[in-house]
Amino acid sequence: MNRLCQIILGCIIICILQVPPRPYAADLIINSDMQYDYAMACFESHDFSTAVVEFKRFVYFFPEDDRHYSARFLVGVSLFSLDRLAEAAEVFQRMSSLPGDNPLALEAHIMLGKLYLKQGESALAEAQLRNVLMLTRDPAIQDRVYAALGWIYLEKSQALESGALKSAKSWFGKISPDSQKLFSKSDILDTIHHMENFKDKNPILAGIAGIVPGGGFAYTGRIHDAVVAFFVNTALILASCRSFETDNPILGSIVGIVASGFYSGSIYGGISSAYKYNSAQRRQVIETLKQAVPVAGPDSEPWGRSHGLLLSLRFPF
Amino acid sequence: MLPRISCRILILVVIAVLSPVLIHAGDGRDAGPSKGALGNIIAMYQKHISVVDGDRCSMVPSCSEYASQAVDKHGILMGCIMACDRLLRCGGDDTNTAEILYRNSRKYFLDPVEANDFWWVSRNHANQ
Repeated sequence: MNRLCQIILGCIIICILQVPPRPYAADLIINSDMQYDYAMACFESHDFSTAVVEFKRFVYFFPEDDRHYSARFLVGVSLFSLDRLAEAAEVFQRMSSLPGDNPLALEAHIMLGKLYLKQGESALAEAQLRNVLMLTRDPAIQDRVYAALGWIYLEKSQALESGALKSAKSWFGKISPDSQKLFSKSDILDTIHHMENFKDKNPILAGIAGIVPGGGFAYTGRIHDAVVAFFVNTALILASCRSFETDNPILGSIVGIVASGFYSGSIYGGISSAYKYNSAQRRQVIETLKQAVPVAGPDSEPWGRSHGLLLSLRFPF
Repeated sequence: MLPRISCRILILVVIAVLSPVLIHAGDGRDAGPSKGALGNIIAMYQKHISVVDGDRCSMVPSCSEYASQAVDKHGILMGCIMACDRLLRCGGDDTNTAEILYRNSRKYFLDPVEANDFWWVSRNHANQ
């Protein structure tokens, strides 16, 4: 038994001695290029949450690097892509106050415009973009802003805002010939011309037609709604009249009040359906246009390293 | 002397309108920002009748909720008109154009208040 134990122990010791030693791992020193490249790789692969962290790490550890500002800007773009709009706004607002000769200051203004649009604040977005026009004479940037403002007004035309189509046409018309193809100016202007000649449903006529219960709905092609409105209103009006005829004034009054509500509702519905019809027509055309028009041009200026950074103004946002 | 049936109807209406106890019993909720009597009617319908009748509205928000939101947003008169319009349209031609939502494997059609008042609300804001 003792001998057996000695043999086993000896085998174990031999096995341990046979295990190869771990290779010596060298220390890894990360320089600014490596850190920036890694952050950019995360950004380009749309891993925006990691990109935020890594660009912030770059800014912290390499504050003197030339790419400091572009890293901060890309933090903002990543936050924007993650829908962390309040934080992104803070970044862009700080960057927009950089000296005017820094191109990122203008880009920050444009990004603020996109941000306000994403928040549904089209008036603020418009104001921001108009600021860019006052700050630059670069035709390429001006064309981007003209296209952005044109699209804002095109979107407003869906809500039937008066003068929106005319404003959209005016902004797109200002795009220079050099950028015409990039922003599909002629296609968009053709579409606007087509929209201006739409055969809209007249809400006033719909309201007048609504005097006959369901008439307003029928005018806008909503036959199901028209039939329901006609029968409900007719039944209620007849019920009210019948109640008064059979000496039930209180019942007649109550049914009469309900009937007047539904009658008003059918007139309102007729007018509303005319507006909805007109809005739906525009929405359909604009959606088709968005599918047909390519992304409004990449910004090919190199930021940071040799490859360019896509700072395109995408529609829709 | 009022006929008996008219008296009964009148009593029912009074109970329906002035019955916060029935509506808010046990839940400690406020009546909400609305609408007094009308809010009570809608809330009583939602709490006592809709529960039994079942969730049958194919639109989102439901007709009672739409009525409540419309009255909150536009007052009693316009709110009632919009509610009656919604009741006439519910499950009708709007299903051909409205956005579709799926909830608990059931298909609903999106029809918020904003989709039906955009044409005069935005104009009012512009005039102000």
